[in-house]
Amino acid sequence: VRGAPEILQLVSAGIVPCAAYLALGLRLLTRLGVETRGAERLALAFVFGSGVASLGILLLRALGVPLPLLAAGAVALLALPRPGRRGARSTGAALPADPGWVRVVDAATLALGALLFLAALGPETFWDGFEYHLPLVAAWTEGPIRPLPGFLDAEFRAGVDLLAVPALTSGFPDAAAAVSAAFALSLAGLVRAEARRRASPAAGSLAGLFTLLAPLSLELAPSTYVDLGLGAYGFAALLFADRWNRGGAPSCLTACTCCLAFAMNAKLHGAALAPLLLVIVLLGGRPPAASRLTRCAGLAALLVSPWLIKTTLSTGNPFFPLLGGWLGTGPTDATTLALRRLRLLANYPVPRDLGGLARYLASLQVGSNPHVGGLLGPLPLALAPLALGRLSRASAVLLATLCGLVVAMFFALPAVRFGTPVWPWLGVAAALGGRRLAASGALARGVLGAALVLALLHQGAAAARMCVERVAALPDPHAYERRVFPDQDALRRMVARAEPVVGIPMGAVAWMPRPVYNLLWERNGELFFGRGMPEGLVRTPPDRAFALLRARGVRSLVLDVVPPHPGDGRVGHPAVDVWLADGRARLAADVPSLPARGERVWVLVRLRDPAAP
Amino acid sequence: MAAPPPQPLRGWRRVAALLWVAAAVLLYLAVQQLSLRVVP
Repeated sequence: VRGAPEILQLVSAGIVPCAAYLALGLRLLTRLGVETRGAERLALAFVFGSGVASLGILLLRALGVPLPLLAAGAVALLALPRPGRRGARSTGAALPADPGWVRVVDAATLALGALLFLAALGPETFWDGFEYHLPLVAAWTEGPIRPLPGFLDAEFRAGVDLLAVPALTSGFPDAAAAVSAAFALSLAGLVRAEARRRASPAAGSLAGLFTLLAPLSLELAPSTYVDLGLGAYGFAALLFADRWNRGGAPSCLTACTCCLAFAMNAKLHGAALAPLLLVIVLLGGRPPAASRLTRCAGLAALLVSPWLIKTTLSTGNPFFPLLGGWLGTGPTDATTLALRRLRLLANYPVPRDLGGLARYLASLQVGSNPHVGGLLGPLPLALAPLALGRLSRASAVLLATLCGLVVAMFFALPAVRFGTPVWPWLGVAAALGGRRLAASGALARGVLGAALVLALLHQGAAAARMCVERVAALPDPHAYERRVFPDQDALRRMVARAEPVVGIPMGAVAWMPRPVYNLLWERNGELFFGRGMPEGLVRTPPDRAFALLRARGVRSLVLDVVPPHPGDGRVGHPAVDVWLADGRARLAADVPSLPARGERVWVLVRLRDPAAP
Repeated sequence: MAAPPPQPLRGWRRVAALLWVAAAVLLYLAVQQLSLRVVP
């Protein structure tokens, strides 16, 4: 249980790295000549600062240099622009002051942002977060950045994950998700600024608030999921491309390129933005000269090259897992990669045809699928269509490109969280649509007001529930973990009694008290074992599976089995039952089973060392 | 630079817009609050 001093330390561990990335970004914005002001300047500073800092962390951790909070604090102090210095920060004349209620909306957005930041300091209870994002940073904090056999996700891009290194180095894993909360605030700031420019200050401020209140933001901000980071980089890249088309300075293209590279470093599918951005600037009415495009391509290649080198060293294929047929997949089974792609499609299981696409689009607003339904909140799709009218060439190209990306998502990556660079544009469009509705008479203003109030009550209540629950968990995070995932707490207790390395079927790797090996095929990339196997897939033969587990140092397994246990001495798992029968494994009768999910119970199986007599 | 003034919705477009906004928001809230299953 934490006292007030420990909670204050945790809060500092969340704030200090984010302050360092922000300060670094403020310096960079001045150097790049990006014209911006106010909240947007802070949002863009975090985007640029975090993107560059992540590359620095990659380099330093590859060399094994420790990066504690103290180092982040020193960067924050050194990089913070001194007062009185003038850069390229302010543009044009001062704007008139906002009406009082708009300032109240902005204050509410800031207060919600602060609450989300605190909520992010609660323990990681989001599945991918505790299963691989946080364990990956932990592994690369304990040792240098290196290949991690049996940990497939270590071969993908992890630009956003690395931003949590200072917090973990100093022993504050719960502060890792502070970065996600900062990205949520950055996205809200960027949407607010763009909507203010295109619609009105009031519409912009409301769009900022509702961006932060969107169920997707509330779900991702308190976790170490990296999608909000990808969203901030990708949305900023699209903003700069559009700004170039509408007469922006050449620095817009440089800024766009940097953000694109950061997006690709955050998640490999960020690379899908590259051809889209090219289409946007080539067809948007102001095609850049070939020499300028070549320079941008060179800059992008330079900024992504550290990850290409890292991936080449560990898999032999700089674009892993892409182009695996030509360049190889390294130690990873190609079947695993193919199945992972199929697994992503299963997030939204409808036929991939026009009817399915229509259902997908409807599901964004009124669906019940956990990966798609209702995650954007009620307003974007209710108000955005009202913005449609005569579009400038730049806006038409942008709209067509984004629609193409949404269709592509339906066919390849249907989960809404993969579309974070796109959805903020719906917020901007909703601000435009809302403003148009407000200008359409008293009745229209009444309907708009009622919609805003209803959405605010619904989303505000959800935000308050989540934040209060997680902030209240700060003094006793273990009690919160136990409440949220009782079966995973039982797994943790079983692992505490097992000999490491412990094989576990899947789950809260980050919570485990000793080294574990995740048996889930999606995560380990080398073994087909256990439950949850795709239909028709052949399991790894028992002898090969046993040899592989021993090669990874696995000495015991904690498995969820159907009772009665020990019953006839079998656990209902084909490979383990073979080992139990021939003496290569034995059930630990001295360790009582604990409840797992449903009717299942956790049991401990010890593997015999073949070298032992 | 200030945004250009919005083009107000008139006639059937305004009626359609009001119905669309009201239906979209109310249906969303109904699905979320009552766990309705409209589409997957």
